[in-house]
Amino acid sequence: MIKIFEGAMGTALQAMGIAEQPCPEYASIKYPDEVTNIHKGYVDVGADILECNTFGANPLKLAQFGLADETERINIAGVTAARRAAKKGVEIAGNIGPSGRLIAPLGDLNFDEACESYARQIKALASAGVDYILFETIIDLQEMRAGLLAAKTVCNLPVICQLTYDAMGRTVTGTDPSTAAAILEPLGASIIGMNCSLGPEQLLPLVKELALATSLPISVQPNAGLPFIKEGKTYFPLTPKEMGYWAPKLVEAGATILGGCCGTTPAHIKAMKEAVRGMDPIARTILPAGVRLASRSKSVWLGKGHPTVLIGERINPSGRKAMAAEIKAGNLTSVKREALLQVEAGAGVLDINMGVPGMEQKKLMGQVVGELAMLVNVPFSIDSVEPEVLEAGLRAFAGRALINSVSDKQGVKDKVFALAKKYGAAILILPLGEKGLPRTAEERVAIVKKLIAEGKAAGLKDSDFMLDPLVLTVASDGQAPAETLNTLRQYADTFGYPTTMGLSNVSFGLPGREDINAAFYALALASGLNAPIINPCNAKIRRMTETTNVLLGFDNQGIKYSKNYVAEKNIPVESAEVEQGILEALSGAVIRGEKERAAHLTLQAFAEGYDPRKITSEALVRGMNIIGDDFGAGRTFLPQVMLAAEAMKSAFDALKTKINAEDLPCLGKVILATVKGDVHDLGKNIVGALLSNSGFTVVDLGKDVEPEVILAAAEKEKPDIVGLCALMTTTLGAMGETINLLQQKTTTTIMVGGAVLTQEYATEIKADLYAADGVQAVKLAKKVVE
Amino acid sequence: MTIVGQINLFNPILNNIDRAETKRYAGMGRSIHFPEAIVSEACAIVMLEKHVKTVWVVYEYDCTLGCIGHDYKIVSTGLLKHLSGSKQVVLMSATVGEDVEIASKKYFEQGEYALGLLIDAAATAAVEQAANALCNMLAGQFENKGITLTSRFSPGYGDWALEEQEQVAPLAHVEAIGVHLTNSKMLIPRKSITAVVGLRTAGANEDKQGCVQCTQKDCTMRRIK
Repeated sequence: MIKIFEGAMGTALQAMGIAEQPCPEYASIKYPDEVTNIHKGYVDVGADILECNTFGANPLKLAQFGLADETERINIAGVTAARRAAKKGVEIAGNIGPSGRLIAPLGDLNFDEACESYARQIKALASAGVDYILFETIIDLQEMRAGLLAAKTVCNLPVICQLTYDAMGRTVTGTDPSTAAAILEPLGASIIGMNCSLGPEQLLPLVKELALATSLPISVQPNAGLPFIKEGKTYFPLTPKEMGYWAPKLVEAGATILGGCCGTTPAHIKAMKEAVRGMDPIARTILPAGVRLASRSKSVWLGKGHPTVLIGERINPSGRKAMAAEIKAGNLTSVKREALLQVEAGAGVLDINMGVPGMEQKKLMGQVVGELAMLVNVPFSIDSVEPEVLEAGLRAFAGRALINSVSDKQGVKDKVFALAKKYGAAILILPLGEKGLPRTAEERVAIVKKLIAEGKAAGLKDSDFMLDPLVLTVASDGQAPAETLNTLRQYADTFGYPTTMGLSNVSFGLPGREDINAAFYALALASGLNAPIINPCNAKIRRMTETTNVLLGFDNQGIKYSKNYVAEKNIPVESAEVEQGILEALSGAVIRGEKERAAHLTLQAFAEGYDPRKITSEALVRGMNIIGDDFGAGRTFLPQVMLAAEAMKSAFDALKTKINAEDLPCLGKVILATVKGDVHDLGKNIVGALLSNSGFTVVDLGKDVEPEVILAAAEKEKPDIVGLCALMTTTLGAMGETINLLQQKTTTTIMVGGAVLTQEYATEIKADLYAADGVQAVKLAKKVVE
Repeated sequence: MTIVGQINLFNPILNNIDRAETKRYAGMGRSIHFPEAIVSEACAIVMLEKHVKTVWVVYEYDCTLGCIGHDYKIVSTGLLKHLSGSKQVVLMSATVGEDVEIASKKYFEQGEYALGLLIDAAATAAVEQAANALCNMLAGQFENKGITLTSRFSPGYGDWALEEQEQVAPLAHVEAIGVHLTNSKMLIPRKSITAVVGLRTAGANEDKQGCVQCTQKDCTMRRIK
């Protein structure tokens, strides 16, 4: 039988004019009969589950109305109002909506505070005797996790978890239905579903997607279509008959509980109830075997029948002094860089180990997990031997993580199993006992068997386990790799769970480690390895993964693999210009921004006896002139000009290793400054770089410079030109002021530029020269000194 | 989440920096001979150094008086037109923090001019992406109430004078995300924006987007000529 929720409460309260006194939930206290009557309207048309008027009755939301202290009273009143309407057999769901704030790091709400707020509401609902806890209209997965964790802590009631999706099939913070299922099912949801935002037609494909991703019952509460506003009132277009039309389709897609959200009335609910009368939930496809991990926005399958997943091993300060020192100093740059590089190189999961001696690892793990989840979208493997460090990572991660790892260690393993159960994490089993390293595959299988039984006793399921066969160093035991491969095969025969291992340990102490690792990787894949913990940035490993994915049938006909080769061929080859002499070649190197080549050719020209002045004028400056002309004509762009300036700088630097800097030709001196009140200096820096690499001496006074400071510098340095820059209209006044002062006290030429400046304005403030861009600034400066 | 006057914080997740926009902000056009590795490096550096934060506040908007909240009377005709049909507006601010600027400056000083320039451009792309992410989030929040969002409109855009940051920044509560205004009306950190978005019900004017609508015909970032 398909159960039916009641329809909208909020819009009904609004229609009665009692939704804003001061909030809809307070109507249960102020107008209990009216609230009960709304429920009755739904009971009369056959609703099986009533939803209490407690949607916004969590203390965080109630605080906005100064009602946090009345949380218990409002929730109990909501349940009472529903109970008074319920007939025998009608169930009651304690309805819980979003807190109104986003959890950190997406927002400013602390995860623990969110859990506490929900726990308080759930306790009140449970004490009043609801049959379900119903989370609905939740837009962020982490908020749903907080609510579900809170519910599991304070009651034993079944929990319904409904998220709200947009037209693209994602929540506001990026979660799709499959990923929601991957996270919420192991976390302990009883029913998963969706409500609000869209109508039944738009929700239908999302229900289908969800049905393929979870074995749990599915609840769906669409709006009565997509709303529109007319003369200040919101209308939901679907008629009861139309809602009735879609109801059986939602059931056929996999829904087991139906209801209505915004804009639905008892008539809509009646039509839906009648449309699905006699229907039963469909039999659903069984999920494929394996373990599923997920981030907030992406889920990844690991196991037989799925492509190899690389678990990036690089976020681990053990043996990496520089990374450890950085982390100790509070700098996570290397950690973040490793995360980005590994994901770019194809890591499907990132292992995070924060084993920095002398650091409070618990706090650090929570912070790193939170920050990396803002940077990359792959699931994480939380790697620690300390249960409290694991918990900090699991709590902070808005997804389903892998725990790395549990072994047969008394006093620890029970805690780790409990953590996996509580946070819905998968767990990696390491066949290590208290008696030391098990040498044979049989010993390892025996330890794993025991640990799996204990994990299952703690509530874990087959879909929660991954196995590590143990990788020992071949240099110390020649038979160790063979035993690891044998263990992989026995794991596959005995358990069938996905396997992982840190394989680079095999080559420790030997030369050519990369080759050994790559060969071992191929052998391990053939023996049943699914997800190596590895450095995905290693080119050999990457190539091996791509080729084995072709050979194992995960890259049909090698299409993805072949694309790499196409891409390589498409790399544009530098045009083979005919360069007749070394100076022409050097000009070409400057034009193309080839730094190393420019330096090399400069030294070569010097060695061949060319005068530095000739090298400068006939090669370097000529190159800059050509690219400057190209820029002026729109044939090339600013970044290319800057690359040419880099090549020029590298050539000058090379020349300075052979002669004194003073012997290089100096065209003149320019003082540069961004005027008072303006904090932009990129434009000025570009001009400075181009001038100094065209032979000028540049004195850069920086940004936000007072007119008096510029005057003092002009009097001291006696430049040929003072260049002033302003980017914003609000600082053009300061530019005029500076010019005025300089012209009163000096005779220096004043050049101005900046995004908002025009020739007209430059003339108005009596600047001598106006340069529209850096290239023109160089041309004008040359004219001044000629 | 739509209480008038309430300060709301949202730190969007940016999993990448838009390379095409980065190149455009760097003034690169359809350049073909430029090392993509430098663009990648600039985007990677901004990914590492960005600290993305946004804040938004809903205000009542009196269409006939052109008044946001109680006090802010709009004089810009472009903005008045942009907000026609809106009964409420969202004032927002987004920033990617100061570290991106420090990075750009550092590379420039080291003589890696192109990289410094591209980091600056990538940071601009990032702050735009952050503001877009906030708008997408808001669209999701409001669409089930039958409300649509206009595009973003910022001080300094069209005939909305930059000087009005003085009124706009406090209304957007920029201080909640660590942004402040200098005496010369500039936002610090530099890679920050403020903007207004109209909350529109049905039947409002067609919302012309971006450069088509802007009156600054000589703007260097203009996409249409």
